[in-house]
Amino acid sequence: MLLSTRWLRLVERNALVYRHVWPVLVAGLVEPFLYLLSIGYGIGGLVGSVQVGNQALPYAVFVAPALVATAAMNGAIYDTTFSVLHKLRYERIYDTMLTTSLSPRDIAVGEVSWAMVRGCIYTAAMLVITTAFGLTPLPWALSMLPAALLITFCFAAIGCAVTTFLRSWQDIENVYLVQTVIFLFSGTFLPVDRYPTAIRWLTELSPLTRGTDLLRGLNTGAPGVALSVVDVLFLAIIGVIGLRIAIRRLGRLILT
Amino acid sequence: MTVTLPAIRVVQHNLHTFRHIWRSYLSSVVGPLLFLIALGAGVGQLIDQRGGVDGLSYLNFLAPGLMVGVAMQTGALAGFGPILGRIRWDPVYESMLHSPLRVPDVLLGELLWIGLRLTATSSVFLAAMAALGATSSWWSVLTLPVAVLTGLSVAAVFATIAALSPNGYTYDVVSRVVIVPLLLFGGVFFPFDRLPSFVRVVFDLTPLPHGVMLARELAAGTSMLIPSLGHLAVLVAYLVGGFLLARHAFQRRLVP
Repeated sequence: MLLSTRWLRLVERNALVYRHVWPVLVAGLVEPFLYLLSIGYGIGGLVGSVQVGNQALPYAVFVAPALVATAAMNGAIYDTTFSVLHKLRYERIYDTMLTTSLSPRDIAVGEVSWAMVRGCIYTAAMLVITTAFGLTPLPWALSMLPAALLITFCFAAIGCAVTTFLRSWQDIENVYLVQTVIFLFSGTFLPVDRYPTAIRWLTELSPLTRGTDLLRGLNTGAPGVALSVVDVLFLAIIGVIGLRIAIRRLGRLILT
Repeated sequence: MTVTLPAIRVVQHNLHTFRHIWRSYLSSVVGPLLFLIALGAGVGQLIDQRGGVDGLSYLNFLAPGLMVGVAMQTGALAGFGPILGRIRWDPVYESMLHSPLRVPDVLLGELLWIGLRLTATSSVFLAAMAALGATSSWWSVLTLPVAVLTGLSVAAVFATIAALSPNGYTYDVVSRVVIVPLLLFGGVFFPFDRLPSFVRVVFDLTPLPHGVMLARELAAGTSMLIPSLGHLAVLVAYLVGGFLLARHAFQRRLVP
């Protein structure tokens, strides 16, 4: 059960390993920042402002919450595909863990929790930068951190579930391709109401669209309550479903 | 008897292995097309409302530059990964050098192969440009050789780095420090002259801005002879210089 805290052992183990590869984290922080400069200010200089509802936002202000959401998503997917696949198929660490009192549930919950710990670092750093640039003013920027953690939870759970279906590194390429599609077509760079109708329907169902919508609402300081609640529920439900699939599949893969 | 270039044997070798692994390259072909659609056709709507960029629609501005930028990225990865692998882990070159092939043949063969790959991927990109209406005249076809030349010049430099580097992490570092910033700020997504002048001076020392400007002006039919020849000279100088450096590095690494 979730009440048991054995999954914390897995988080602890990952943190111990992580002490040695922290440069990866620093490198992972630089890229979203460069994207913010290039897209927010470079392309933003060409775009000027964007009409959202009845507000005209400078393009950098429009894009910043989307890039925070994307950083949360990318971190979550990376942490639960690349490294989990490695542990599952190559290092076979989970088999070893099952000889202790850990269960498949502890493993799935532990990996998702660890992704959230890292996601907290990524998104907090990203928010510090966007706030320093005046793109996400305080105090609302503080409310964006827990919202971004919800995005991390959702994508980490999906990532764990998907990884149980992957057979090799080649399959990871397909995951990254899907990730690119989600990144580019989730209202990140263009308000969703400017998409062609057929695409817009799909776009609205993307968890990143919901996450970006949530963060953007918070960033304007006047989030639409109804829509924000829908966003939160959507992300939470998809995340829980992903987690359940991950637990079931992990059990089947490593117990047999 | 027919006379064949010995380097062709290396190309044949690569073609044989490629038949088994081509699927893992699909995402590197499709990914850039998604960027072209999302930014060129998507964000382009917002930019064209304000009159486009330098007299071009954003799609027409972006497409030739993106083709060259992607070729740079492909060239860097293709010049580094497989070559490092064949020097360190899977010593194919050692076997090749026991045949009548010499070090320059091996290097030339690898570059010819990369040239073939760049031609194939850039052709797909060109076809997508035409389908999206991003080609205004037959001059757009000339972006293809410019992209291949830019990619090759970068590949030659990265082959040198591969021959000198102790392990695969070198690529992560060089890619993050050089390739990603060049792609984001080298004139692909927004006009180069919007950057601070000291950044422009540094970037101008690399092949990318020259490839991008040459391709863009050729596609728009606005190129002038002397500046175009200047850009071309930089690309050729990188290719020749990169080849000579790589030959030297290969020689030191492969011949005891």
